[in-house]
Amino acid sequence: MRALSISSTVFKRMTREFITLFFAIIFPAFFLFIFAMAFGRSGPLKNQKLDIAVMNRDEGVVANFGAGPDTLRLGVILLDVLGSLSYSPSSNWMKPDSSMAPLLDADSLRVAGRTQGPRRSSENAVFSVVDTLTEERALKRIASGDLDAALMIPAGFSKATMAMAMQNVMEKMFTGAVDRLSGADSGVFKQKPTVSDIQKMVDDISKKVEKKQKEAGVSLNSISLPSRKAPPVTLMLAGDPSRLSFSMASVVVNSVLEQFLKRVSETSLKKAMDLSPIEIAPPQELISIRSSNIAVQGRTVFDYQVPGVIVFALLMLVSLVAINFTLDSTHGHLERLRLTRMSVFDYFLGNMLPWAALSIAQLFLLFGIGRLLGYHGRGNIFSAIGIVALTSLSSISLALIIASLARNEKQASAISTLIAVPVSFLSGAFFPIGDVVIVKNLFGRPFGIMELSPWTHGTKALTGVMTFGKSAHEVLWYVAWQVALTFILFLIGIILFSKRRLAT
Amino acid sequence: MEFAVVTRNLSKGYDKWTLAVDSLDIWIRTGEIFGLLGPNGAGKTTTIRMLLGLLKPTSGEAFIHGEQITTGRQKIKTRLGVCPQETVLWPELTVLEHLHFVGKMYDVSARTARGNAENLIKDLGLEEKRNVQARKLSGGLKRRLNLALALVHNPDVVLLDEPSAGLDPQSRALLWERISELSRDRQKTIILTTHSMEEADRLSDRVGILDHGKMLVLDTPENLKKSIGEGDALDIEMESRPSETLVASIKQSTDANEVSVYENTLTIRALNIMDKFPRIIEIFSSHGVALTNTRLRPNTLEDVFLKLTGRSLRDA
Repeated sequence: MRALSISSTVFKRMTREFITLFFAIIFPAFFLFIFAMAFGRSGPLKNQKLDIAVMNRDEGVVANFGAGPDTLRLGVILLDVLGSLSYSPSSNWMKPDSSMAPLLDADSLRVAGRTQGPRRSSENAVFSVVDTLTEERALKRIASGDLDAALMIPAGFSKATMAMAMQNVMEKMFTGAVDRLSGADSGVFKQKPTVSDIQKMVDDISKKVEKKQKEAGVSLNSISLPSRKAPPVTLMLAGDPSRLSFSMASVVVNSVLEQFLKRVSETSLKKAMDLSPIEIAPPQELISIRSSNIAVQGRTVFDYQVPGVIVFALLMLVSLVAINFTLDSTHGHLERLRLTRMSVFDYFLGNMLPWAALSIAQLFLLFGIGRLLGYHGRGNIFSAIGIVALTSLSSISLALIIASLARNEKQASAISTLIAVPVSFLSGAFFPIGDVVIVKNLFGRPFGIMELSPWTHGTKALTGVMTFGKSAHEVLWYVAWQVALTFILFLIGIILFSKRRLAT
Repeated sequence: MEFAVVTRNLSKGYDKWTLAVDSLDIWIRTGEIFGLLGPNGAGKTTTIRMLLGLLKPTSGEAFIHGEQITTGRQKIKTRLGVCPQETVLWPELTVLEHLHFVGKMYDVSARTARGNAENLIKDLGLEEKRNVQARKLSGGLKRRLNLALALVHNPDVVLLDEPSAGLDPQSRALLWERISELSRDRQKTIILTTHSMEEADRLSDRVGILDHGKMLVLDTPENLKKSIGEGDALDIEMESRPSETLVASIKQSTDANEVSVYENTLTIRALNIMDKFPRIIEIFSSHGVALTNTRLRPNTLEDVFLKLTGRSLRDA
């Protein structure tokens, strides 16, 4: 009863004090918002757009697929693809724009005479492509941080690309013809073919060639495929390796280039097949950029950070609770209460209940805000409440220790901040942190120095439950450690506070 | 006669060499207002804190209504109310919430706490402020609420530590009236620590003067004042400390009960002092000493303290 009266008073005090509400609710919510802007899918910043400069020196390649000679400028098409690459609105991972398919189909290979790719600046675009006329200017802009990367497409890019494609076409067609002749693909010949069999097949092919020529309205004699030989070329991608954005640009450009070359080869083969008298199986569907990212689709960095921010909010409680306990000591509240029939148990329980309740309110509030900002939370809410209550007890215990040692509330606030902020980072509340292993094998697991912090286990358990949807059983290791460490911290806090603040 | 508070050889030392309270023996009757007078550091607050159980005595014993303070603390708690020197309030709680909260902490039933709270709010003139948070109260109103919290559980013994410190005259007058009523009408035993001679004189049935942890005297204010001589006191201020010959001349010529010097002030205590005033002026003229100020007043507890310690209570 007395403990509840104290809880009621503490609760009234915390709800009527703006600073408490600010640090407990608004401050962590603000952090969540910032992280959502930076790492989530929602908000005005959305995904990071990469500024890339292009220097297209590609001279193109002349080819005739039967409709007259055309200059194919694959450099332009490649830039089109880069420019059209966008983040998916339904997931946080990039995918080629739907226009990538027509860009790379047979007809689009006839983009004759175009020297520049499209300059669409979609909100979801991965790249913001800017033209830079000179290499020197591009390097200067990279050095000054204005650009994330610069791509130089060499003069022989189209020739080299088409040469690679033609090699593939020839290989496929040759394999197809040999298979057809040997009957390996369709079993045309049930036994060893005779001369008459082969003659019959040649006649058949001649008829088909004649038919194809009529259908296409072209003469096979007029077809002029690009050469299968070309000098090798190198695309240059320049950037500052110390910047994360360059690493991202490098990965994306390499991936796009790989897919681009496959698509060109595939399209060329399809075109050749249309003109070929030999029926061969269509090429196998190649892996797209989008499908290559399906394994991580739907989860963002923000998803890892929401439980971390909740733990950070619980660490912010340290300062508030420490100030509260210190004020009780320095302003005579504790002494006044000691004159009443209040017991030590009443005092601790009465003070802990409202803070624990506030921490659970923080969980719901930050979870709700997180969801609004694009967090994919799942898992058992009761497990999350349990972990949050336990983590808040860790924070209250630390606050008790600080309040036992601090001379006044300013000192309590300063000490709390000095401890809570580094601990929140080192506990991996915001980003995964590499730990220093102190025991190589503890019950089959390595044990790091930061695992001596209950908040590290709180972060891991809460992330496991909330983001990965793990059961309480699956995070038992972390919870067990958290219980043990919190108990030790609580014991130290109670003993210190009793000796220094409650002794007569 | 029943004694509400008894101390026997009560001592408290914070180190091996000095005693903050030295062998204190007090008997305070039920319903009595007992003034504990002394300068800062005399041991008043240490005595109070020992009676409240917040400090362990080094030696000796103390009883509140027969219960020893060290062993019967839980029983004593509900019989003791304390109004600390500094206002101890929760800034975010309203006046009414304060009274309900502290009442509950003394295990007073909700109904009784509500009744007590209403009476105290009325008695201490806090009606209009009942739902106002403590942080928005003036200094005087905070002191009244501070006193109300000492009384909300209807204790038998009330300890008031410098209750009127920092109060405006109006609030002080109200406070003194309430303190007198508590003793007169409700038979509360009140221990009043103060370094205001006027407060101790006006309110206390008996006064104990403490200095350096020792009880110097303990009696009614009237007896204490009489102990330093009958009649009134005349304070004469001059530009410099009076000479020994001037003091001796005045003693001889005025038949004064006492002539004392404190800095530049000469105090002459005698019966019918005003009749002797012309003769005093003559002596000053004959010694060539100019007067800067004169003041006629009755004897005060300040005079008692001055006589006992050789120094003023204000300067101690």
